[in-house]
Amino acid sequence: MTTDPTDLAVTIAEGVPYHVWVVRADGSVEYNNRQFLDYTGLSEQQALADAQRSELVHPDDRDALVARWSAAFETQASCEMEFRLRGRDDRYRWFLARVAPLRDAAGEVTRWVGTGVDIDGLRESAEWMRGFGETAPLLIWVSRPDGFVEFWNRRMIDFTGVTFEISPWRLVLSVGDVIGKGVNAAATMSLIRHGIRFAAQRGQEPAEILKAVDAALKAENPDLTATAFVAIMDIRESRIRYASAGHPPAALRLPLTGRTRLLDVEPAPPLGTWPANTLPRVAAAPPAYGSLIAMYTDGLTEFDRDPIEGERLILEALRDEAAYASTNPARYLRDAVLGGRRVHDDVVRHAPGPIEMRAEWQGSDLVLHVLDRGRGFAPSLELPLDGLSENGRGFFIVNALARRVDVTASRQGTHVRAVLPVTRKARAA
Amino acid sequence: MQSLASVRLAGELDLSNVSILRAKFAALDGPAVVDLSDVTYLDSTALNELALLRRRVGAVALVVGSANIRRTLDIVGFSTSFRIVANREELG
Repeated sequence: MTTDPTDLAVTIAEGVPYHVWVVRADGSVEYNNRQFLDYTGLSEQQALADAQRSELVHPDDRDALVARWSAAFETQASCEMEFRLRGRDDRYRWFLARVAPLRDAAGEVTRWVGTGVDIDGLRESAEWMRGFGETAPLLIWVSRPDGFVEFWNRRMIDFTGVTFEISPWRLVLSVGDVIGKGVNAAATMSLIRHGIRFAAQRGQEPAEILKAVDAALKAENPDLTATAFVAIMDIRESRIRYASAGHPPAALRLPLTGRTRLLDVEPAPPLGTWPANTLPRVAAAPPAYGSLIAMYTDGLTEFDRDPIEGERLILEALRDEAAYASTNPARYLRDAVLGGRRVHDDVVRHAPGPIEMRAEWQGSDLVLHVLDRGRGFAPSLELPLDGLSENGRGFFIVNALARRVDVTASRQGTHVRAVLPVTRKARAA
Repeated sequence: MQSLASVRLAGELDLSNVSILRAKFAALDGPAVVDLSDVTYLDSTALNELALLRRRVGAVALVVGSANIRRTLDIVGFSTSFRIVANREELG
């Protein structure tokens, strides 16, 4: 490149409000624009020397910058980096630099063009936003005008459910439910969660993730089945791709209009039961920023033995502005759907017939009574030796938590009386 | 399909009566019809037994009368692994 002012490229480079430099194919610097020279205070000649330029980079950023540039130069690929550069006033400011190769018709690299933009103010505000974002009781994310999301706060990630990052822009959301009860079911759910995480980190798509977990479940616990919904949200593409294995579809609320719908899904059968060659269809949805996605288990929709009504209530609650404005939308949804309704409890494994539970204040103590039609049992204060045993663990936990537990048996059934570890506060006069 | 072994169930099928369900299914050793026309609720335990039955005997047709039961089966993806009909006549 020549510095002849008639050269169109140089004219442009001299007019733009950021740093521009050009590097020859052999790595030597050929040109720096006026803005770079003005900022650094270097002369045209000084700015061509690697040592002079390098000396202006903050010592903490220098090695990383050299490594990134060397790798790009070696592979002839574009690169981007942020670093602090000292100005003529001896103050460091943050710059975002992008360097890209120029190629001739044969594809050979002839030069490299670099640009550097002052992002000091942006970084300062980003740091502030990050600090604020993690402490404020709000769902917060920061995106650039082009839609690239730079930041999600912890509440945002927590609200979306069981999520984890598999890259800074790729999140896996999953929810599952083992069909069964007890410790074995809980252990199986752990297996499934780890299976999903492992498959996702290998870069697999939702359908392949579910297929891997189906195979693992068949191998590890052939008598249990499970449902799962897996979604991968790519925040660069503003798109969510998902698949289901027998799990209720997630519900989506769009911003602005507040429209809600269940995500279209063609579920495969529950995990652990897939016939050979099963692969669920992966669907995609383009949730705009500000959308809410609610993932849930059938416990929320079947509380009244009516899944159709349950789904309608979820959509209705999700449409409510209060759900959107809530600092804990998941809890809001749960309370809105279940509130005031009888929840059917199917925990009846250990006792025949109906179970009655009642809590009452006795003085300042809260006492819980559980009455069933069983023939009583000998309470043990020890954990069962068999870690997977269903007998004795519950009583052990209750006994450990309660101040006192009494078990009495009669012809009518068994009465467990537990004094809970809470104390009623005296009312203010 | 008329000659297939058949089980007719009724009421709410859940954890409380899964042992009865297991006993009925244990008697099936080949393709079968499970009539859910009078079933009002299926919990996950009952769905698990249906899935295990299908895996063991190969083919199972479900007779479903209620929209709620049909929705439950659709959600869990049984539409692709079971033959689901609205009444026994459809079985031919």
